Amino acid sequence: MRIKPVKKTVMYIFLIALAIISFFPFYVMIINATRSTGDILSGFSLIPGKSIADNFGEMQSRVDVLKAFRNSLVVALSSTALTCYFSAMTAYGLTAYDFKLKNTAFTAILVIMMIPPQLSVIGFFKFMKGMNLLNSFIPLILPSIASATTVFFIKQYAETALSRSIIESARIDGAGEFKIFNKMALPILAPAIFTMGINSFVTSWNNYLVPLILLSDTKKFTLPLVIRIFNADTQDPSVGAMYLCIAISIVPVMIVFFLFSRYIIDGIGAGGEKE
Amino acid sequence: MKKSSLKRMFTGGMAVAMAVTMLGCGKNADSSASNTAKSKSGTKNSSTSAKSDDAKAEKDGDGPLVIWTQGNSIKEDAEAWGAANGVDVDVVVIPFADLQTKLKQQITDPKTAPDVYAITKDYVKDWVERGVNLDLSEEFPDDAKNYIDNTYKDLVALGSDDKGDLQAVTAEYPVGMMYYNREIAKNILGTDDPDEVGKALSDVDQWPDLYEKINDAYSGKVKMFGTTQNLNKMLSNRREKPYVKDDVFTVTKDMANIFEINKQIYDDKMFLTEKEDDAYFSGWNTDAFFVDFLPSWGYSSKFKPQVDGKEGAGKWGMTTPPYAYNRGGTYFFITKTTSHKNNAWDLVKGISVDTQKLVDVQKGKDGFASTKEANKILVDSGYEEPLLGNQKVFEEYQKQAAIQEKLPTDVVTKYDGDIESFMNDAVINYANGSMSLDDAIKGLGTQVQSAYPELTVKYNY
Repeated sequence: MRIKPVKKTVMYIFLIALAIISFFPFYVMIINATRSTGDILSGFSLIPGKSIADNFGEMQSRVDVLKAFRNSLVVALSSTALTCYFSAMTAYGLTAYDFKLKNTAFTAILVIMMIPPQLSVIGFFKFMKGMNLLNSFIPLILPSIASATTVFFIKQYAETALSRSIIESARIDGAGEFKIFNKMALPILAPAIFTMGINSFVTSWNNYLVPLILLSDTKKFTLPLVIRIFNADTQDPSVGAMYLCIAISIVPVMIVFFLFSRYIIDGIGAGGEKE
Repeated sequence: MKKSSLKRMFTGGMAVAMAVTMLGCGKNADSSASNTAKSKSGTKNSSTSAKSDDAKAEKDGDGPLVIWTQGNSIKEDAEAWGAANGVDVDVVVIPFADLQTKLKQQITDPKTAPDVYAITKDYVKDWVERGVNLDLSEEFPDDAKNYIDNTYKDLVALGSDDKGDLQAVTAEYPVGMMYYNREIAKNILGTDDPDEVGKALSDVDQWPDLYEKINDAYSGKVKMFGTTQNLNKMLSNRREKPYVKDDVFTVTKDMANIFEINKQIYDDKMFLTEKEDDAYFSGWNTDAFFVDFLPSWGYSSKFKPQVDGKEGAGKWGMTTPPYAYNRGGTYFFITKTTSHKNNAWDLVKGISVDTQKLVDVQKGKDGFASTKEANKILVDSGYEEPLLGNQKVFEEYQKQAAIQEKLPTDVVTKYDGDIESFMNDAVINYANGSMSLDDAIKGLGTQVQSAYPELTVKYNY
């Protein structure tokens, strides 16, 4: 369908404005990474500063950014992988099979989705303390196996994308249930898995509360904890170094998004096509 | 070029840039002070004070000495001490907002509690009364006595329990000062002499007339006060009785007076901002306000970063505030559960009691030490601060410390931090016209009651 030139121009102006608004906070963050703490506190600027070297030195002297980066990467990648695989398995089970209490199980998952995670933090801490798992990555990674939100999303997608006839034909051909899931269901569910994978990665990467409660060993600190340290000292804040550390920390998130963003679009579109 | 190829190139470029940055960020393990040899029992240290025989005989356990703090400067000092003494020190920097929560959860368990923790002044009394700390008077009687004899009495009182036993020590005396703009002072008062400026602002009742002169001279472009937050931190120290006594929180006439003072300030628009924001920080260089109230540590954390190398350098002076106030400061506690008693005390002494260390640290940031011996050295140096118009800053602190030390020491309670925070909100609500005085004060009482159900709230204003 041809769009009239005037309409096209208006659309482009609107989209460019939206793009500028979306990118603006990132631009300010990068600019502030080059300015000194005093300059940042005393006003806003769109022009880069001259303090990036000082901020870099300050950042290195206060925290071990590389170690924190590695810790965040280990936790985020592991928890994302577990979330994606086991949530897909759960969603597949709820879609492909009929069994007693299936609806009850799904309702329970929906109820768990409603519970704010902050409510369970103290109890979770006491549980982990009792199991001697404080200062460990295990409580940050393993609970990702059970992600109610991811299960819900993938199940909704599976109901439209996954056909039982394909599963039946695979059974007829002699494939086992586990093989059917890994070889057939996972590729079909890939758009939903990648969509929730990006979401899970970002959530895990930015997770501050649970690592704060569970970790006291500085060698195990993740990036959000380390970033917060820059502003922790009210008598000696280092805002410039904090912005620089934030700028470094969002690069993996942007890489993940750029690599897998087409799957989000595929995921949104796939459910709307009729067979 | 295809869009997907461009995307891949961009992603690859970002990954390479990040990898290069990370290589530059990596800390050299050899240079890290915390990677020194593990602590050994009876390790040689730089302590010069005698220990009791019992403390010497009791050897420290294995593993690192763990310190929890919100202060980066403490991290640097502790790691330097560890490197100098061959002790493995692990400093955990936790933001102020989270430190209290983490400590309360983990302080009583030897497996999770730190050996040393540092708390800001507002919460010191709370932690002194929790019974989780090493009694320094009992464990290190000679050192404790030296500290008590040499340190300002309000600092000692804050770090001691009801029996007078020392539980916490501090490295600095946060003397409350008033910063004033010299050019505005010369223009309005005819002088920028610190004593004359201090006298001119000493009476709260004179503030409206003084502001009228400022308004006339600068057509409303210059405000009297930088922030109401800093002003109220000063005013709230006026109390002669504690906020809470025998589990009763009483709203007194003095407290109600603070509400009225703020109402006048808001009505006449005498302040630049409520809190320390962009306008406030830039105001140090743009003659936007006449005075502000900052303690001694405020020089290095708030004043200097703003004016150094800018228009405000040399344009400000420092003098006695209308009311003496003690604001902030960090106190060090050693936990009862520590297995590194000796090293913990040596560390705390090394960074907070050792005279030369105190002199070096406070000289570097134009602060004021907790001990009189260290401050005498600072004052005798005759140092003149260029950013404050070559004022002898340590002399000014000394003058104010003599006044401040006379403040009643029994007015501080463990509830003060939260009560002052609630009161600040209530004062703003009344001063900006959102609530009547009675509603604002009743709201304050309700908040205190919710936070501390064990207290009874009384109104006597």
